[in-house]
Amino acid sequence: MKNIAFTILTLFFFQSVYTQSISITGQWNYTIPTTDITEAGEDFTGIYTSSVNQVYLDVEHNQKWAVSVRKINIDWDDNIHIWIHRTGNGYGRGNIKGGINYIDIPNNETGFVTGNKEQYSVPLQFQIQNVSVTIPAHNYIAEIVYTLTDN
Amino acid sequence: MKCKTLIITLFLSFMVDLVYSQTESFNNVYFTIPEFALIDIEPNASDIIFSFDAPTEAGEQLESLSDNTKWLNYTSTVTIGGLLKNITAQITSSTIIPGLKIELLVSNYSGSGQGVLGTPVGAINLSTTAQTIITGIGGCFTNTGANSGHNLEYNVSINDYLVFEVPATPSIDIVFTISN
Repeated sequence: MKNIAFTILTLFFFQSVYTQSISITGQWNYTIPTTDITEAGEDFTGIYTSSVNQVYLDVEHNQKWAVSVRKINIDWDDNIHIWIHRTGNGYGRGNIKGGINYIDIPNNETGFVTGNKEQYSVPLQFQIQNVSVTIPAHNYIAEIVYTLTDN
Repeated sequence: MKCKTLIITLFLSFMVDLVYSQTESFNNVYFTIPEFALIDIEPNASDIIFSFDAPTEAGEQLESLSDNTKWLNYTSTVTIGGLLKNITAQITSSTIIPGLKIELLVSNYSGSGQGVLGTPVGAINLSTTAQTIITGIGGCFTNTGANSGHNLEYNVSINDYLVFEVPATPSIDIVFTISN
């Protein structure tokens, strides 16, 4: 009985000390409307923006943390750039910093936001830039990867 | 016994740590560029009026007439490995003027557009059959307005006086179509 109590207590201790997780909810699906070009001879307007809370970021951690971001071109044209920024703080017993200004998501990890303890439902917004009719018509797919590390 | 319990506990703790630690997450972005095309006549699609001057000396033929005030603008997207687009011209009005030749000469592209712009085929004599005037249009835009795109030069002359006859309403509609 004493052993069981000891084990449960230790498990609880480790779980509370080492818990760290990151979760993204949502995705973005956008098709350029043909009305984007109002007169023959024009190029696309070239910049398209998602809603301010297109996806939500949840982070659970017991200490200071950092989230980096990168893009994987699953089926993508290198000329098209995806930008990301944070439009709010979300909620939680921690805090979050950085990520207010748009950053161009590279294919290699780059710093995005930092924080402390738990923070939930942090709203993120995307912007796609550099789009032109000279880029082939296609259904493009990119994966945005968020990595949580101790800070 | 106590040592065994400690080892099991530490092992379970390690497993709990693994279960509760997720250090990566992701979302997808789906972005679609549609295939489409737009074409326009600039600076406007107003009528071009040709009026032959009477010869000054008996026996002379009517001098041919020209107009190069119109420009063709277009925007096009093409799928990966998809067919390039062409532009055709065609007389669509029911009225035709027997004995009158309307030649259309399309210039090479001019302006500050970008992409795979089309190549003109040269001069054609317009008829009620659609004829290709520009080929090989890929993903591109010509920019807008006169002096951007392809200049359209019309040369009108009488090529058969035997059948030449001016109808009551001597107007002709010409339609330009972009397609692949």
